[in-house]
Amino acid sequence: MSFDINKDLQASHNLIALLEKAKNFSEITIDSLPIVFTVINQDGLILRANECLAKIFKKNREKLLRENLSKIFEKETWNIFVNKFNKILEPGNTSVEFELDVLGGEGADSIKESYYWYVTPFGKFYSSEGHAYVVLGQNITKLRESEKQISEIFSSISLAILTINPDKLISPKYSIYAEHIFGSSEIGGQNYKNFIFSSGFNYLKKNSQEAIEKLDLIFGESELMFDAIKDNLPKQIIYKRKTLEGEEKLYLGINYQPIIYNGVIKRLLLIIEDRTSLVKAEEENKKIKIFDDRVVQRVVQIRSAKADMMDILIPEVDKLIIKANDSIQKNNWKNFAGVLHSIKGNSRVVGLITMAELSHQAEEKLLFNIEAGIDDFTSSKESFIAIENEWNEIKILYKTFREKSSEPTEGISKNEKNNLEEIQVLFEQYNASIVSGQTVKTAVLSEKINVKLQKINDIELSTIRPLLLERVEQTASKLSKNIITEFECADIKVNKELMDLISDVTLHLINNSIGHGIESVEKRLQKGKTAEGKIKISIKEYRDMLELSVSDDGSGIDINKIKNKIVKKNMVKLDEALTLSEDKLLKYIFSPGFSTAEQVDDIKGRGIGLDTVASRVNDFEGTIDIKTQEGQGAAFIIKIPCANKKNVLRKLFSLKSIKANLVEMLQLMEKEDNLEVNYSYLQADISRDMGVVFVDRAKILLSLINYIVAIEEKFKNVIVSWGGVDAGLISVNIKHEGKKETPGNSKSELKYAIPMEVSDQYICNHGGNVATSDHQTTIFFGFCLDKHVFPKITYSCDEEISDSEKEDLHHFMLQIKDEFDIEIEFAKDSRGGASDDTSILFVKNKDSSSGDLKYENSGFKNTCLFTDNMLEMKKNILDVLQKIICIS
Amino acid sequence: MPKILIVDDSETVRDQLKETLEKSGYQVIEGADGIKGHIALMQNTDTELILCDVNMPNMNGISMCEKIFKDSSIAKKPPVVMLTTEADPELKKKGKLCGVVAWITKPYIEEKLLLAVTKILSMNKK
Amino acid sequence: MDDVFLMVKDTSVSRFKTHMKIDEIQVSIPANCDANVIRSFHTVIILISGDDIKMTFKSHFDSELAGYLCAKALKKESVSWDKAIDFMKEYSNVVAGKIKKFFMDQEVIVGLSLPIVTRGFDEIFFEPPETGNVLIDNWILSIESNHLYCTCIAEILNKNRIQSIKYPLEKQATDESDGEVSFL
Repeated sequence: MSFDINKDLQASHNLIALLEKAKNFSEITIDSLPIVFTVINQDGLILRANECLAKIFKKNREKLLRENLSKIFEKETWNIFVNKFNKILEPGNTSVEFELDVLGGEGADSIKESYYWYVTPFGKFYSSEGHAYVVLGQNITKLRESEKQISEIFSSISLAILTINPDKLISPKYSIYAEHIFGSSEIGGQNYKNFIFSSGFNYLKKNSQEAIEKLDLIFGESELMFDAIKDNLPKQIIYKRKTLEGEEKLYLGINYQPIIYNGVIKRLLLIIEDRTSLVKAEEENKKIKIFDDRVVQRVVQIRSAKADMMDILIPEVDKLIIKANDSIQKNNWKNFAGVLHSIKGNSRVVGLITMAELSHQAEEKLLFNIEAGIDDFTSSKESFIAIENEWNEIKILYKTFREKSSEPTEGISKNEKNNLEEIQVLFEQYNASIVSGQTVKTAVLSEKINVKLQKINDIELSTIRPLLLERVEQTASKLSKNIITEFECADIKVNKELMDLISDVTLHLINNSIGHGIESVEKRLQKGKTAEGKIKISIKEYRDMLELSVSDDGSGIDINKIKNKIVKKNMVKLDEALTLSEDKLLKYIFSPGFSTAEQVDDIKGRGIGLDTVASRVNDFEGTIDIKTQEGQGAAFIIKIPCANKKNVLRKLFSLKSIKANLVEMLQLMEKEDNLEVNYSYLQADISRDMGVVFVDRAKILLSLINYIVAIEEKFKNVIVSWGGVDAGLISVNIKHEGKKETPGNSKSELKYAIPMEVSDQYICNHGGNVATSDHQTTIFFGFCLDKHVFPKITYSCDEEISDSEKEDLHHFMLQIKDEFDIEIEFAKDSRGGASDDTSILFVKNKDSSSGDLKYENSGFKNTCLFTDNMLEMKKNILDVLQKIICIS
Repeated sequence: MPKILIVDDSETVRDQLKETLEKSGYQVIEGADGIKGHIALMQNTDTELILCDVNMPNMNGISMCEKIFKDSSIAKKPPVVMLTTEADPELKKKGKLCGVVAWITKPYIEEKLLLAVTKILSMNKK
Repeated sequence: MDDVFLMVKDTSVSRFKTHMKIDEIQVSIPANCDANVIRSFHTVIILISGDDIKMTFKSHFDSELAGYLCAKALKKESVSWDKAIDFMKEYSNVVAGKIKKFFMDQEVIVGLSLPIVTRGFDEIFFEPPETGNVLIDNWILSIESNHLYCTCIAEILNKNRIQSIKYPLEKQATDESDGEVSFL
């Protein structure tokens, strides 16, 4: 019988063996999981533990039965554990998850590790052990560390990085800087729209507002939804940050980045930066600019106003202002309008355009309001405040000018005073010439005014002094050398480009001197020199040229070293090098890549310095020379022409370029089949491109060229000939076939076809003529092309002028003669002399001992005064010349 | 050295037996159940004695004996000694019918077992 | 029932001695000796079951103990885990075998299961007995500091039959049937 039982047993034998194996395998798997797996009873006693937990306990896992789980936690931490654990016992909870640290060692050895725990009841088993609970623990120490690192990076970025979750709330994981920008630490969990956009919503443009509204819809959608609105999303918003004092307006730049999972937008990342300071800086700039413009306008207007008129105007307008305020007080708006009208009129007369405009606008608005019955006059009051302010500014400015003009030695340099006066004079002339229709003169004057105004922006050369001296000090101390500096500078103003050049070059030469030239204190004493080296910087003005010299009493330039270097660098063959003169050798210093210093450092220069200096000086049409004496020192002398005046004249006198333009254009036209162009005369006349053409006539010529191009299509043939020998004449012959218009018509057609300046009326006014027939129109255009413009000029000077000054004068007049191909003669007798308009008398001092106005009856129509200032004198000469030309 | 086949599903028992027998100079081959025992016998035709348990998986001891008894390919059928906790007389009868010459109750006493082995082997030689 | 438990205890002791080849062991009683709780890491369970009585014999130990006992018995330095476990299973087997013989001699028919090894933890899956017919006994067999925990759970189905079982002193600690050789 037992045998039968055995048979049944045998049947399940294999099954049991299999299950046993399988179960064992499962047990081993659980035991070797990389997370803590343990089952505890309600008292925290371990019923089973896996290898992971055993490691924490540092005990054999088989020996952990009924160990207390609390042993791996600190007391307080365990209490938290128990609290969390107890939550499972509450109804409705099936599991609890939390993070808690574990003690990974014993005593001094202990390291805290971060674990993430998951506790849940172990099935519904109730055994003699009571209820059991599964505790899973994941070691997240490394994870937490990486998080910390990222968080630190996050915090150090001065950007607010926010993530918006699908529930439209801001994720609590944001960069710390966000709290700074938004002035709040409660950012997480807020609705992003309310928090970020609402305070500045009204400032947004309509389509930006709409785009923001649509942002809500992109969550869960494809990227295309975002693309549809992204261009309208505001890149900059206003945010009102709450501070202790109230509210602060911030400008925030926003960048929108959708975060996409599986093709769908899951979250939105916002990167926000505080742009307030940028925006404020921009606004400041704008304000300054507006302010500047306003000031300039005022200056110009004041200057153009006649002085005695201003004197009369000021008290009148003051009275009007008082009247205006009175009317406002009494709400007598009709009166007020009348006052505005008067202010307007007065301002207009004197030429205070801004005042006039403001008053006019205010008056119009006010009258409109009165007629329409609108009772609100606050805007009028505001406009009046603006008018009052403008008036006050004008008064102050005017006063300043008046004071300055009557006290020449007050505060500003002579040059500045002269400039302002000159501008005033020019303005008067300018206005007069406009009125009288003297376009040539107008053009010339406007050119001059421009130049003068530009000059106001010129910088006083002496301001370079502190910069240079500081550089000497810095470089000297860096290289431990003692340096004394001597600085001498001309009392002139130069434009910015020239200023930059001078300072760059000088700084470089200073570096050179201190670096290469001046020896160390010891060496100097050895050589018997003074311990301190001397550097002398001087900037002088001489005959249109600026002479800059930087010299030192150092060791000088070693000529032999240069020889060696150039041979070494294969710039020159050895035998050639030996024959080169000192001057030629010195010039090699300016070759690119040349440096005799063994070391290259940022104080002494990298060997590219001097060649750059040389090329820059060259750009300014200057020259650079070196003078050196071995052992004693070296001097670099740079001469640059003061380009200012030349520019003015060049603009007036360049016919060559116009002619070149014309030839070029005609050649181009020839290439097209339609036109037969005869410009042989032009070619032959190349020698005659020394000539004077004024700006406006140049304009006419150029317009003519443009016109010819314009009519190219309309008319068949254009013959251009350049005038005869003596008369500068251009005739444009236009054959237009098939057009059987009356002469009158073609004339009018011409008028419309060509630019205004070239219209027949205009042409006629300028010595041109238009002749038309059925088939052709000929425009004759006469130029003041040649010497006839300049009559012979006679000049003389009085005895008080020294010989050297006379020399200078002659030299200058010769230059003019050469340049403009003019006949100039010197009359020895300063009293007799020519009596025509082309005579110039140079007088040193009008109020000399020989009595004032002594030359009034000298017969010289033009008197040039110069008061020890060559520059002024030359200016005066040129002014006279202009005047002479303009008269014809 | 006489060869003895021991068949028992318990590794412990086999180890102990092996140790005991080898100490006394016997050569031991093993089988973990009836089937394996049968195969081992077929592979070792010079087996002189079989020591086997009754309760084993796949094929118990008695069934194995029956099989061996009926197996014509085995020329020499060695005597079988049952080593088991079973003491059922019916079982013993069945065993006797297919070659079981002795019945030893587990746990065995070493000396008694060895004595029995020697006796049976010498008997067989005759 | 006390006699039965005594018999089981005795059997475990005597079989321990023969199986482990150890002479002296101590027997002690653990805490909560009539509860079925987790005693150690591994448990070998074997069932002795019949119409009159259903008995479970469990022996609880950890790998270290199993290894120690097995190596000692086989006179080896160390043994593999599988061998050690097998050794402990065999122990259960021999204990259960003797218990069965006892019952069979008393004409209580029982059958043996295979011994299976499982985790001590699995006690959790056993519900505590509700009926008063289940009795639990626990004891510890120790050699110095090495403890083997034993449990015997008996569900009495035929009270009369079982209660009539006696375990007289004479029968105690008799293993005379061990190793009995009977020639057929």
